[in-house]
Amino acid sequence: MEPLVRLDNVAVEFRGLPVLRGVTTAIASGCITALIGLNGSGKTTLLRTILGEVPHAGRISFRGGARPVTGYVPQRLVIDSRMPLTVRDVFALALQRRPIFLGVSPAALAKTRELLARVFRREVEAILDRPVDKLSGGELQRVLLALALEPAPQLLLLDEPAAGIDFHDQDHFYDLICRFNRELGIAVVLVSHDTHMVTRHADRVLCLKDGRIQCEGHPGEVLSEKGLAAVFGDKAAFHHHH
Amino acid sequence: MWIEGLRTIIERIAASLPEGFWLQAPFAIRALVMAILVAIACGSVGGLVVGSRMAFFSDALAHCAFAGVTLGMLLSLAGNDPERDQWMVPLVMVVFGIIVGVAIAFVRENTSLASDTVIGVFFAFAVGFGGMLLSTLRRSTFLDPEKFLFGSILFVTETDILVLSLMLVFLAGVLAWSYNFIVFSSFSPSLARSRGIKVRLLNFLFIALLALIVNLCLRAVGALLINAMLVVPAATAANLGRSARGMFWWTMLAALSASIGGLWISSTVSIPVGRGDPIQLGPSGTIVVLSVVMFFCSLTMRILRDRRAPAAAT
Ligand SMILES: Nc1ncnc2c1ncn2[C@@H]1O[C@H](COP(=O)(O)OP(=O)(O)O)[C@@H](O)[C@H]1O
Ligand SMILES: [Mg+2]
Repeated sequence: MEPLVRLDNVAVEFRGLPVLRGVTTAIASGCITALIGLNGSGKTTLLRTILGEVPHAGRISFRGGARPVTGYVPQRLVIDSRMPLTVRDVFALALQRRPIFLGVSPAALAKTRELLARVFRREVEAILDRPVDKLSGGELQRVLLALALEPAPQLLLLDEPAAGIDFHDQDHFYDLICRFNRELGIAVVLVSHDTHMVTRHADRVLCLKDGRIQCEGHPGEVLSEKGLAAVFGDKAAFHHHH
Repeated sequence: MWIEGLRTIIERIAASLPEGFWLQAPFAIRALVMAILVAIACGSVGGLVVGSRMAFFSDALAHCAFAGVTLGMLLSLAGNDPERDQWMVPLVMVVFGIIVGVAIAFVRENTSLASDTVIGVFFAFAVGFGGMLLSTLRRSTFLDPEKFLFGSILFVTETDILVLSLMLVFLAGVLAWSYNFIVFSSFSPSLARSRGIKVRLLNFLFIALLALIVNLCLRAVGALLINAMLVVPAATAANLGRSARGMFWWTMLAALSASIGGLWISSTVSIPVGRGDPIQLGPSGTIVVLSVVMFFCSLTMRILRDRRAPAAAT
């Protein structure tokens, strides 16, 4: 099948400094692509460029021409708002037309429960009225993942989604992502520092180094000792263990 | 025609009230209606201003009115037609406010300067420009400087009330459509953009709305105090509300009760001093002081609440 997103020689500069250079690759539906690379190698920028947030050179084209419905979980969401917002509020803002000051519509609330139930292992009722800025890192990531599932996305861009999630919950989190990927045929691009997880779950690995694609391919090949050494130099032992 | 009707209604109400009641005169009723309208206008967007951390920005917009009114007066002196000035000057003020607001947003977006630096520079320009041409303002028949700074709610006309009512209808329409988008954008701009929300467009729209509100409410509360009407009730609400809806309605309640209460206090209380006439309280100042008092009460309540249930707050 034709890939969902195609990048053709994509380049990005921030104030004259190149951050992405000549990135050419394709993202297929129903496939989990793991994006790895050192801090500052341009992973976040690549996701934001696919989202259309960053001016770039080169071409990004989508299957069928139109931008696919995209769910996005940003890296470390900084909550700027000083308005008291509960989890219920955030979902209502995104899901309902009724202005929030007139209350949360029953339809939006039902949808919120359903979405949260898909990502939380425990009871979701207690989390509905928690202020979003008081959630733990892991809870926030799950809430954001649930939010990214509506409207049903064709493409999920996850920027270090498991950061802040407890070690023993991470497997569950990645299993979830895999399930959405398999059951709904969503194309997933996810930034991760966890080679163990990448080997287990990803179909394809894309390594960035200084804004260039250093290597790409099956996790088995790319994440071999030799492959890792090529990407990370001598720091190949990165994040192998926690 | 509308204005005539409104005037008749206000006069009838005033005449039907008992002798000695503070609303016995038509000007007092006009002031009360104006205070309510201003409270609704400022209360409906106050939460957005505080939520998006735009308190300093809206303060700059209020001070831009200083430059705006000077510019308006300059144009009207050239024209020399007092009839036309009645709508020309406010129009110039609103347009000027929108231009400066958009300019601030534009400079902030396209440079790496800190937001408060950019706002501070424009702020300085607006006040400097007004000060430079202060003599124009002194010659004005439209506004004298004191009324401009502190408002003249006791002198508002039926026209002012009508204009502000129309603005409120417009405001209600715009907010019904855009409120959720604006809050979501302030929650996380990048997440909002990924959901197809036009964050930049909404930002400019909100700035234009703020400029409109500030410049039209200015007649009542003045350039120095209008920002207090936007920010203080919302700050009170942020202490009391636990959700977006709570924030909105607490803001509204705080704004309305401060406006009505402040106007009532300033019309009925006078402070006797040793010699001479007793001191009359300025209405806009009283409204703002009352609203600040309410803020400190809410702050106390919040501190007590957090102390009582520290676990619930985490
Ligand atoms: N908005 C920005 N303005 C200027 N420089 C940026 C911006 N965003 C990222 N950069 C720079 O681009 C490089 C890549 O950043 P990023 O994509 O966040 O890397 P990664 O996610 O791989 O850690 C870094 O050197 C960073 O400083
Ligand atoms: Mg990153």
